[in-house]
Amino acid sequence: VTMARDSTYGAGRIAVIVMVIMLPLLLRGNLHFLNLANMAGIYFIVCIGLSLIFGIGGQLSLAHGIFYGIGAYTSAILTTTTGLPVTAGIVAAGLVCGVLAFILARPLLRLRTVYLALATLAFGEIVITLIREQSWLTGGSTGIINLPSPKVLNFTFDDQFKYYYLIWAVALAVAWIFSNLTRSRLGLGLRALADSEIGAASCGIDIASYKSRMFTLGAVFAGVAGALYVHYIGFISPDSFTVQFSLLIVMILAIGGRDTLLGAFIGAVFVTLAPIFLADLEKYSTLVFGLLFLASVMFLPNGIAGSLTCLVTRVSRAGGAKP
Amino acid sequence: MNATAALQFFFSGLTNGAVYAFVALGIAVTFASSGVVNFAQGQFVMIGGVVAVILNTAGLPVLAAMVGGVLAAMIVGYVMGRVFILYMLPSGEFAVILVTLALSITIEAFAVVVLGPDPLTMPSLFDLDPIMVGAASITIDSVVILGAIVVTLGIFSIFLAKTRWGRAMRATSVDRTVASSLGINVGGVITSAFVLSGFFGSLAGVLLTSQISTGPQVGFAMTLKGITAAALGGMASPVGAVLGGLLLGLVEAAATGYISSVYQNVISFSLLLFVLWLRPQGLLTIQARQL
Repeated sequence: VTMARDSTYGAGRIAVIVMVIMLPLLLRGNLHFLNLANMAGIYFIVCIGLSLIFGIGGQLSLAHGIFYGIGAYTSAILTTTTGLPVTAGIVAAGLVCGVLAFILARPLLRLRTVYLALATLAFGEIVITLIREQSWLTGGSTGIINLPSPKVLNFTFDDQFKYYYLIWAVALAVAWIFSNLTRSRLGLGLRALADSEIGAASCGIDIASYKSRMFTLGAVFAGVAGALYVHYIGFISPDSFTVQFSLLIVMILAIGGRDTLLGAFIGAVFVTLAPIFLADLEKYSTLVFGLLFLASVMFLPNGIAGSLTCLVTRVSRAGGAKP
Repeated sequence: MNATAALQFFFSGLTNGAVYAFVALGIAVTFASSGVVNFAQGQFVMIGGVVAVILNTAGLPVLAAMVGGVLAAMIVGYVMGRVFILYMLPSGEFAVILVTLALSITIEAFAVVVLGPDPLTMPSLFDLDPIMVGAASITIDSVVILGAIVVTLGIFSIFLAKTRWGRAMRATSVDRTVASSLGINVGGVITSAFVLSGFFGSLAGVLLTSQISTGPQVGFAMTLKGITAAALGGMASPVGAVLGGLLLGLVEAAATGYISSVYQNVISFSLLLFVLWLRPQGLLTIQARQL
């Protein structure tokens, strides 16, 4: 039975990869949709990072947006001032976020629920103020413009089409890490401690160490996504990395489904496509997000992805297939 | 900085601190009865202020508009407790926090849709000159807010300690199931705590509006100030929450006066992180409550 499941799983993976590769060929003429696909990929990476912390580990971190920002600024500053290649800048973004998150993880994640939310939010506010005020380094509230495009050997990712493959290669790699990780000892331990820290500790799980690894990895994903984002749009300013962004990611993850890849994907697609559906209702968009967030927290605790999975299972059972 | 300027900053710190203290008191009330930290608490400040401005603009006298604002927030508090919180409580603390966060975002977005994002103002209740202390001045509204927080805290502490309803609240905070088995109407206690927190929040809102200004988007910032204040002083204790609020106001004023207003948040949030790190139960809580 497991072998059969593994082979469908493998086939599913291959199908996803083929679809990701084919999509821009279908969209080639349409830069607007290609741009949306790129933004969806960036959101997907950010969402996977938060999914690890918020979905799997059950910790409400409101610092995710600021790690996205720290990654973005790290790469933007390094590539414009030291002439570091952009690919190295993106790696550096992940490293800086990882090291910072690792240092902060133990003192921060000792706190739980609302205290953690408050402390992570406080950390984010402190960092964003420093970014705004230390303009010799960050360009202040105007930010930095003319960020270079990433380059591998002689190949420059300088248009939406090429950048698509860079973003989605990273996104698929991150998704692969996430999916392996959730089935590893770390992932299972995190799920256990999300249910009950005391219970998990009594089974020999080192709570502090598990949380620290989770937080660090989530921050690395956010940092890499931030760097990819700013080199894609070509400029950086502090307005993209406020508390509002952290809240947005929490919201779309709750709507999509906070502990699965499918949930992160639905959330990412949802937030990218929302401006199209809500274009005429510009001023209602936050209200719509808020109401959907409220509804999903109250009625769909596992988000759209959880409900879909549940529905599919029921239908296939009703059809007589063995679960 | 000379003594007059320092005194002036002290007054403004106390005034802001009293506003934060009201928000923190509202947070302490709901936390003490239901164990819920209400991320929508700051929205009561917004609702109180905004409704008062609307009523005042519609022609009501200032005092009546203020009463209207407070009543509106208490109704929202009732709905919040009765409909949302009671429904979500069985799903656990995490789900409840997310619901209050969602409510906060939704209420704010709704207010922005209806009113637009601009700040709103209202004339003061008292047509009097500020009181002069040396060369520094303090407005009557500030004195009223400070007086109001002291009186409210006093009455509320007596209410908690001496009345049947207050005892029921405290019992509910210790253990909902046991309190329920002893015949306490737990749902009623929790709902009334939200009504009460709506009252505290909006009182700050209406008093603040004539002092500076309000607007659809002040709510979330107020929530943060309130939770910060409550966490500084001790989430479960009304006295701690109020002192935490005053402390936060004074620290912010000192940061503005001695350093720079742009670093006000950095200073107060650093203080918060420091307190959470060293004394996660709050500065004034003696009995350690597990976080």
